[in-house]
Amino acid sequence: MLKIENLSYHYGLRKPPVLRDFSLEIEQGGIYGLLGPNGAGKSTLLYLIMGALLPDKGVVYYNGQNTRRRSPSVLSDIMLVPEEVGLPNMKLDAYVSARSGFYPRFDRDILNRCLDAFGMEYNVRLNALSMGQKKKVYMSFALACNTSMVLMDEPTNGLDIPGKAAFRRLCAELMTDDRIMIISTHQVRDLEQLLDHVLIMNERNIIFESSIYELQRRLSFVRNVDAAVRDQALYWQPAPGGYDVMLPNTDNDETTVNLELLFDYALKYHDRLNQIFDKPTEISL
Amino acid sequence: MNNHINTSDCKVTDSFSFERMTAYLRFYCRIEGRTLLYAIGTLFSLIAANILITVLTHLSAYRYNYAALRQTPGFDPIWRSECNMALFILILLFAVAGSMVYGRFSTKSSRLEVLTVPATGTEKLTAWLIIYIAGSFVAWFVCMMCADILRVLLMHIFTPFGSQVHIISPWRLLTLNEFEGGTGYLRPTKWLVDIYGLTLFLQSVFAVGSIYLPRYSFFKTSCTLMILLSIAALMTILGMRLFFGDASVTSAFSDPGELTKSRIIWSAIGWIVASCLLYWLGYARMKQTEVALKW
Repeated sequence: MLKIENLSYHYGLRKPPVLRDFSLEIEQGGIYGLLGPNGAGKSTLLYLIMGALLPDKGVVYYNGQNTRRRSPSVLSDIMLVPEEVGLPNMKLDAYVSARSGFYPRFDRDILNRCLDAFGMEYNVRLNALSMGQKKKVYMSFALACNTSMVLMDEPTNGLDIPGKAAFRRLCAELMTDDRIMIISTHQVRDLEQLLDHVLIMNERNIIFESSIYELQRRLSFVRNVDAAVRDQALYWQPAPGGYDVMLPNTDNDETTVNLELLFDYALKYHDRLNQIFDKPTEISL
Repeated sequence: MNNHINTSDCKVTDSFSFERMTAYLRFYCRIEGRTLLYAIGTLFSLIAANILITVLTHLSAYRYNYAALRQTPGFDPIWRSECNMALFILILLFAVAGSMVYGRFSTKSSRLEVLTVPATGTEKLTAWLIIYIAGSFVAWFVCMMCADILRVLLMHIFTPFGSQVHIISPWRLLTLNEFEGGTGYLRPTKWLVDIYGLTLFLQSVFAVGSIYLPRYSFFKTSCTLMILLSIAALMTILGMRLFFGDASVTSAFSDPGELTKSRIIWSAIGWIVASCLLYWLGYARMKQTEVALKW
């Protein structure tokens, strides 16, 4: 459904490339977490997928179509929620009625449901909203557009605690078998329970990728006070009341993936992590 | 994850769609409606203020002229000044409107919106051109007429000869009073073609400026234009003096020959082609524009 081939991009001739020979293939029916440190190229990747940035080299295919062409059939099937949402100076209902016509599967009931979940009203003036409220409104609109692919750049930034919970709930509810959600974030704790797949980016490419199911099958994550357990761990970090520990899963018990721990480990030792998952150390998916 | 999005009956075409273009036109008018209304308000105020100042400062002369020209009923001497001002405002308006054609590319958030709204580049450009060429012209004409109606109303109320003052005719305004001199139809037609052609061309120059220089585009394009024109004029004059002597400069700017209907038609085609070329240049740049500005 989404195929990225040898993508390279830089923001200026004198600047280093943000992505280099980046390849990725994503099938429908999953919520993908795109994790990476600041400057890893997460937002750039989302903009390139959308066609808002044009690659120096390589191609992004969405349903077989090159997104560089910005064709209406592709644009009406992808929705991007940027990190900083800019909305025009008008009322929400006017904005929705003006823009929803471009999305053939737009569903007003979903919009109302999302706005309700975020505690937002339909009759608001967009420029009077705070950054977090703008994000809630735009995310509601994006989800209501019912596109097959939703790209979200740091969606939980600026959201209050109930907003984050509502966001997770809505994403889970509105996820369908023929949909892709790619959520870029460095606030991994906000999305731990939501993701189906993890893509970790660093240094212009993906350094590790796996499904949550596979992670749970191969690794176990525990909080432990026992120093002996810690010493057997692949990786550990001090945590309140002990240590957060990542171990090989030898008992076939499923534990909740500690994304923060995994993320840190992947950044430091992605070669070892890929060996555990029987993947090449230089990933080109 | 058990529902399915119903994808039937949702075919979106990638070729030019008139329906989608009008949808984009409506969308654009909604999001830029406030700015457009302010612009029209400013335009009307500018025109009205100009007309009223002209009337006030020349009231005695006007009354004198009026008395003198009372023998020619249906003619108001202030129409000539109005048409001169209308021409100046038309050129200024089209230049400003030109710099707004690609106005949605000036900030990152609006750039992202314009690049991600599901309509083709041609549909978006068509919508902008409808607003900024046809819309500007209609706004100019309506504002001019309204300001003139206001002038007549005020003169009816405040001057003793108000009953003899008339509203300018739409035809006189559109022809910028050029068909009143009794010089035949070819010369005024050529002049009008050149004036309207130049206005359209100037707008396309400012439109190209707005996509290449998206921030403070009117100011930057004006400066660039001034510099380029100065250099071009200087080089032309110097070149002609160098190769042909002083006499060639005068002869180069003299009337090139007899005015014919075909010359006027070619002139009109020339202006339209030159403007279209510049609009095409802007469109090509737009297709390559990204949410992040690299230049």
